[in-house]
Amino acid sequence: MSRIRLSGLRKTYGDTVAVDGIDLDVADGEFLVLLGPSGCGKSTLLRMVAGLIEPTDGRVLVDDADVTAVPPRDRDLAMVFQSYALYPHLTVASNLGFPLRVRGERRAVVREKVAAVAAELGLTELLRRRPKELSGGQRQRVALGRALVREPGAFLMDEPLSNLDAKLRTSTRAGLSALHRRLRATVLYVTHDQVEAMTMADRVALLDGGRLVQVGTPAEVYDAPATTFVAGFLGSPPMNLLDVDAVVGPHGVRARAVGLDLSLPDAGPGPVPDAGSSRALVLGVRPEHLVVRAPDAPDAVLRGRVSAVENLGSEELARCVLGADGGPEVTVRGPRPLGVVPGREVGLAVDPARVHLFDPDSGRRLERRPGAVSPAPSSPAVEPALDDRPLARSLP
Amino acid sequence: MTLLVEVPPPAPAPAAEVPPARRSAGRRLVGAAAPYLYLAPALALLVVWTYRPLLQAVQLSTLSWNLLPTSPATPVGAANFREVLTAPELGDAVGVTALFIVGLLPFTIVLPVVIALSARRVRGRARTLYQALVFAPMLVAPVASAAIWQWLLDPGSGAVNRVLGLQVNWLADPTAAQVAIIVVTGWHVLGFATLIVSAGLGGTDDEYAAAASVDGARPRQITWRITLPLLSPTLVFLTLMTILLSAQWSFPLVDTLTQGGPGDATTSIYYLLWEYGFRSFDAGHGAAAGLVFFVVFLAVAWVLVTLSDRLSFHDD
Repeated sequence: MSRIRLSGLRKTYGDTVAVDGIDLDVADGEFLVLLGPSGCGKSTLLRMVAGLIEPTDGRVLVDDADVTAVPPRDRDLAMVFQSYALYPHLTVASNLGFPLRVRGERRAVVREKVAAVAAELGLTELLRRRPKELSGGQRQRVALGRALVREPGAFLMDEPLSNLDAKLRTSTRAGLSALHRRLRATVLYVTHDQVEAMTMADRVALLDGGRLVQVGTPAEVYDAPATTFVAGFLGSPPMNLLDVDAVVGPHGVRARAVGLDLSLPDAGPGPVPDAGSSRALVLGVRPEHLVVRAPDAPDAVLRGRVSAVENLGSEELARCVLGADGGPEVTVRGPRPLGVVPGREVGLAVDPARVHLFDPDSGRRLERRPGAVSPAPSSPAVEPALDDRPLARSLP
Repeated sequence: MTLLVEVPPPAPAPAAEVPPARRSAGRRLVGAAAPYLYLAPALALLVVWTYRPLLQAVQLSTLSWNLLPTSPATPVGAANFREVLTAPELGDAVGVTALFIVGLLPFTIVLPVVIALSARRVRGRARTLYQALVFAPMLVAPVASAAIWQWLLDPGSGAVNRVLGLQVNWLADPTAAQVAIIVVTGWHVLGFATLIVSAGLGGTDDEYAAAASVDGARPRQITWRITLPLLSPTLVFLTLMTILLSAQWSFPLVDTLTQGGPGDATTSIYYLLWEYGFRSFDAGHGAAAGLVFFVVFLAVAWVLVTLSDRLSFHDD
């Protein structure tokens, strides 16, 4: 299996920047998910790796070989398309054998490998059918089989599950994960579905507006989002983000907004005194970290009125308007019943350790470092440029 | 003791007390007739210009008549068909027509595919210009272009002989006349066929070619194994058009340039048909020949349409 490295990869269409200088290292055997909303450039990025789109700038390396100018067929990468792109005029067997046939593999070998892949994916009964005679799930498996059959250096997958219904998507997700574990395959996987990213990825790379915003394990990107974009993208419902006026003092941070008075002490419990430098902050709390309290409870640092309650079956979501009417809205998530009634006053408590802070201008995460004068910028979201690191061997 | 009570299924909703809306008989009639009313203009044109003449041709084919209203039309039964089918000129005309079809296939299939494939990268305004240029000959009236080609093909001072450095009497030598008719007709229909192939190419999903290139196919393999098979319904359609319409496309050129000659070298079946009817004024033989061609072309069309349906790959 191969390692894929991207260095300063960029693609512009006229004045539009689709992909804006991506540096990324996909380790051998790693399942890396490119996650982002529609139009964030993730499919363009994948197609540049495949060689289907020529980058405006930057390099693509497969196992230390620069393949930026190499045609797709010589990159030793296989791709599963969102539309599956099964050749409609060929049978399942011919579709599976196509990558081998065009490489001049002998018929007997092709037949053997096709049979093996078909058996593995449960397609043996369908080998003589044409794509139009297959269900969505079967087509997806044929597309996967066509990628598997020639044992490529890495797999590129462009939203391969997005055309399946919810139930099939869940089971296929598990199947893909198992396949990855068994083959120890390098996978670069594009999706806009955070569930796919969280469940399958070794690491998640979040893209926004053609830029890499954060790369990390699913737990890292969920527990310590690098920007307000990541905080607002991951999680369902996403993190509550509130504009607050804060006083950053020697003993911690005191944040205030309509219906909110929150102390983030450096050490020990208790309120943080109102002394220090004032600044605006964005405060983030995940819905599941808000705890319902009585409106007058001493630890109810957020106070407001419940505007709606949604029943998710096992859990409930409560939407609360903080302070007076027209104040900011926060969502609370917890096991059903939450014990709140629409229209009633409610208090919300939160563990200060679960509170995230962001800079309102840059949107970047602010880490609280007790004792420091001002919060330092967070860990780098973008990996160091390829040129800064030694390469195993010199490039052509 | 614990009592287990089964939960009853949801009770049906109480019947609505409002009477169901009912449309008047007249409205329902109009509603049912609407699709047929929409079809009526097209059907009327088909009946007037296609089916009625077809029936009249059937009727004419059993008569011996010289088209003069004053002269009598004598019923002769199937004699016209016997004579037409045994006439030596029919065999010759079929041979010439087959030659035209085979000669035109490069202009309706091979060249359009080559041109359309190599012009795929042309985009934007250049594409519009290129399509206009390719399509232009189709817009020239055949008789007008025939007149111009007559000058170009002139054995003494014509541009064709001068450019090629030949001394060919294009329209007087049988083989040369056949070649001239085929090439000029081909020049006429090339743009039309190229547009059809371009449209066919535009209708095939680029994703297949992308998938094939990642799968390891070379550009040539993509063309032969993916693009052309996906284009096959279009190519079958163009073959069908060529077989059915070659004689028709070449008719105005034959009539203007060679009048079917020299000898019968460029007398296609349509030209023969026209000669029967409007040179010999033999309505019966003309109608009989027309019906024979109609039946043969119907069979050819049926075979090719069936083939085309088989070759269409609807991939939703």
